[in-house]
Amino acid sequence: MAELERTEWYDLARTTSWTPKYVKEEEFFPPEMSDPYGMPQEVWDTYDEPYKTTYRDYVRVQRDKDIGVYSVRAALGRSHFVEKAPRGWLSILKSHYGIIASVEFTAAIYNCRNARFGRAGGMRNTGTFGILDEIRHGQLEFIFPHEYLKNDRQWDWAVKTYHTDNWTAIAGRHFIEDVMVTRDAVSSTLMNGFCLETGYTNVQFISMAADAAKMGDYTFSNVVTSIQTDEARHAQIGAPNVRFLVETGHKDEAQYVLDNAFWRSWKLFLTLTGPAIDYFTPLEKREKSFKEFMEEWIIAQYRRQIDDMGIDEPWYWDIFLDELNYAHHGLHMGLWRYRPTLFWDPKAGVTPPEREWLEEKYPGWNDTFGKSWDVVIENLKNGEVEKTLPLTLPMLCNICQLPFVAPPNRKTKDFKLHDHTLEHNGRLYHFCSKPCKWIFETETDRYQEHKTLIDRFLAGEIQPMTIPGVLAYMGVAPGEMGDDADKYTWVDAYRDVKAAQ
Amino acid sequence: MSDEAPEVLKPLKTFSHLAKERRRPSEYEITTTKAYWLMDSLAPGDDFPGERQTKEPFEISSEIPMAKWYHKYRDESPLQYKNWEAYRDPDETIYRTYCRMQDGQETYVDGILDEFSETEHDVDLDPKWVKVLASLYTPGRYPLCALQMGSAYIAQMAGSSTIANSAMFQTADEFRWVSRVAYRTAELAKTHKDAGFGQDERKHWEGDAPWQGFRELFEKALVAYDMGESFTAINLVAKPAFDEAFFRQFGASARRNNDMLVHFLADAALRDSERSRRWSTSFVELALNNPANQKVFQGWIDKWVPLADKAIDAFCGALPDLPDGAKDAKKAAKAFRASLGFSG
Amino acid sequence: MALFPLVSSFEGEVLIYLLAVDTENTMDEVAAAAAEQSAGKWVPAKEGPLRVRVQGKDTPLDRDVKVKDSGLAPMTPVQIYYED
Repeated sequence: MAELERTEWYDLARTTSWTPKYVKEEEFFPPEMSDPYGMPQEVWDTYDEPYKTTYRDYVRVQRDKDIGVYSVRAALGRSHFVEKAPRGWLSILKSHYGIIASVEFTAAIYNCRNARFGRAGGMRNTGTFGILDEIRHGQLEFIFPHEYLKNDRQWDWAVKTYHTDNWTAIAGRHFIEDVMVTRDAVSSTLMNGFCLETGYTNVQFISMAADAAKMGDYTFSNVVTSIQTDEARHAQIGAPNVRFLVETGHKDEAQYVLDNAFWRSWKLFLTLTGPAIDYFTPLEKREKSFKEFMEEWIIAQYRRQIDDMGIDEPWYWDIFLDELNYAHHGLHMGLWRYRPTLFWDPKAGVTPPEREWLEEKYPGWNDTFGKSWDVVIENLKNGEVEKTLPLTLPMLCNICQLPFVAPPNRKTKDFKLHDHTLEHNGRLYHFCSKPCKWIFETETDRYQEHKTLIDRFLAGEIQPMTIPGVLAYMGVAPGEMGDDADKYTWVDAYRDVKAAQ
Repeated sequence: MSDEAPEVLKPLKTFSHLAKERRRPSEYEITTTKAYWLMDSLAPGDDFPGERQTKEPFEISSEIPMAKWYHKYRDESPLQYKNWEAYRDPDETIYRTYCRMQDGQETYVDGILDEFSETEHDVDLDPKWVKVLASLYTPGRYPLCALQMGSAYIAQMAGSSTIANSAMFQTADEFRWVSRVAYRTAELAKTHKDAGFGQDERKHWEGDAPWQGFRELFEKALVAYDMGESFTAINLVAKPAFDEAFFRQFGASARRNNDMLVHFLADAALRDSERSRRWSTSFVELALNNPANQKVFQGWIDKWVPLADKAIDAFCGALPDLPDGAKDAKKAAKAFRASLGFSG
Repeated sequence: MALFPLVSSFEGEVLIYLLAVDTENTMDEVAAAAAEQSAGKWVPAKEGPLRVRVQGKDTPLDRDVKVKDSGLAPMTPVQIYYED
């Protein structure tokens, strides 16, 4: 068998660029879609995708992967994992599928951008594999929750989420569009490929797979592991482009788009993964805290990757390291307070042993967030659940669309909670942090039009102007509306403590 | 607001947007419908209670360049239909069936290449035919890459998830054949060291007269950015023209010049082309539910067919021992459009 | 009588809220409205007068000044805290 070695023909399959004769260059590769940095074609012709495969090998390997994953699905019907699984764990799955599934598909559109408007054959081909990968991931993340639908209407949100104006959908669309599908092919391969996919999701899937295996949820563990093996490959599409930008005098522009994407990815991550690791995962299954996980997987790796490329540490690094100690605790509390706006049941995760773990991992937790939970627990012990439900709307940031959170200050009057405002064209904008405000100020034209849920509420676009009115606007109905994952049974742990004294 | 509480939603057997079909959905429908929010502004928006009603492709802004691009080339396309999501791929291709199918096809092609390399097929080729392969076959990776790029563009502008899905698999099919032509180029280069294989393809593609028709056709089709026009220019005109000329007619010429390998590879490629024509037919039939679209399609076809016919004439005219090559290629392409109810 | 939105940050709170008050409300009434959202719900209820201060300022607004006379613009971030 004299089959050629891949190396003998691989370069030919990516040597596919030519000079247009019948149409103008900027018509064929419009800068706004392709390369607004104007890097010369000689540079593009040196593009070398770090992670190589061929169409022939791809369809063979991927076919086998799916035989494995879908055999697990077949077994799914027989296993009653979902009926037996702790609701806190199911909330991790529901929020994951609901917030990530359509994002996977949208990444296929991002890769179509790369396949059509990429200036290098290798980039176009990596984008083509990326299209297939993302169809796969999206289809996996639709078919598995579909199996659970008969148990619970909340699984419907695997598809529904992004077709509503739920606050999670508004935040998700705004973020994913910003870093993935409303920019040129170069910037988005940096923001999505190099930062979000390599920096965050690639690594997130590794940890979730491990947690799922520990939980005995082999279906999810299998799906997530399998997705991650594709992710590692196509996420590399942006790496050569970071180097090109630095080498052609565009380091500042590369620095900005990466710092934008890193901060915005952090915001999605702390909202989705923070509570999952530090509050939803059963105590006995927890290994690393969210902060430890971030330090080991995201911070160390991302810092190494950008150093290799000649990119600096983001200017807001200290703000980021500070938020690492509290932001997801605040977001978790916000999610739990506003649980009727969710399509999953958040677990409070603050029984005495859980608080001990939180205090150990985050010294000072009981003196800050713990104080707030104490008031909630007191009300729940007295059966006053309605005191633990929202009366008004939280302020939302005009960039990340998320609530403003901070550990409560008691001793002094200087509040850590701060509304970073900016007046622009007669409108007052509100930002949860300096980096979000900086992002707005850097690309004002891009962000000025958008209205948060609060802006819409104040403009009278949400009627009636009541909590039920807002819930209807968000598309959440009873039967899918979030509630406490354990229906407040966890509060009994505090009743026994009181009785025991 | 009426004060009686909204009705409590009960669990479903399938996703709510499929539940109203009152039948079991296929795995294709479960995994391929309503997958993107970028097309919500084109959807009827009545699939489930609480569904958002938006006029914009993007959440973030209606003013940014990308939003303007989608307004101009997708939302305001002359090709209009009230529910693009109703489109269905007749083959109901999903990821895992695509990989299984194409793995099987690639195993078949591996077998052919293995057999022809064992019998040292390339050594026995007539020198005149080697020149034909060097000038008209191996440069084919450039127009195939153009089809890969064009298919990816149809996908990103598609009016629904199901349409985008079909165009995405077509993108991968085109890349499949970029790869196979590249593979053959490397094989031929090993046997015929001085024929320019692996070096001169771009010179042929950019310089030789037989290619300039397809070069003009593809370069112009790739900047026909309107959603409907790009589909028509590529799937109804340029791709059929190229597939008939570069695969079917080249295969015929090859059979007359003792090169059955080109024939077998062409035959394998035409299976992918037929799948493209099946989904294109389904898409056109859906679009023609809006009678106004008949004229819209026909207008574009009248604009693009002359370029395609000129490309076929130039290319097939250079294929040896094939006096009717151009005529047959044009006839086949025309027959495909006629099957959709169009002339020319 | 007109609805007047403020951005309210209540001492001991973890979130910042939208606070709908009325132009006729005094600062005490504004503070009471903020307390209604948080005190005894997310923050331990405490005794002692509550003051309203514009974020970034050192001194609170007078307790009896009305919203419409306070110079506050809609959606101004204010901090509500217990005076020692």
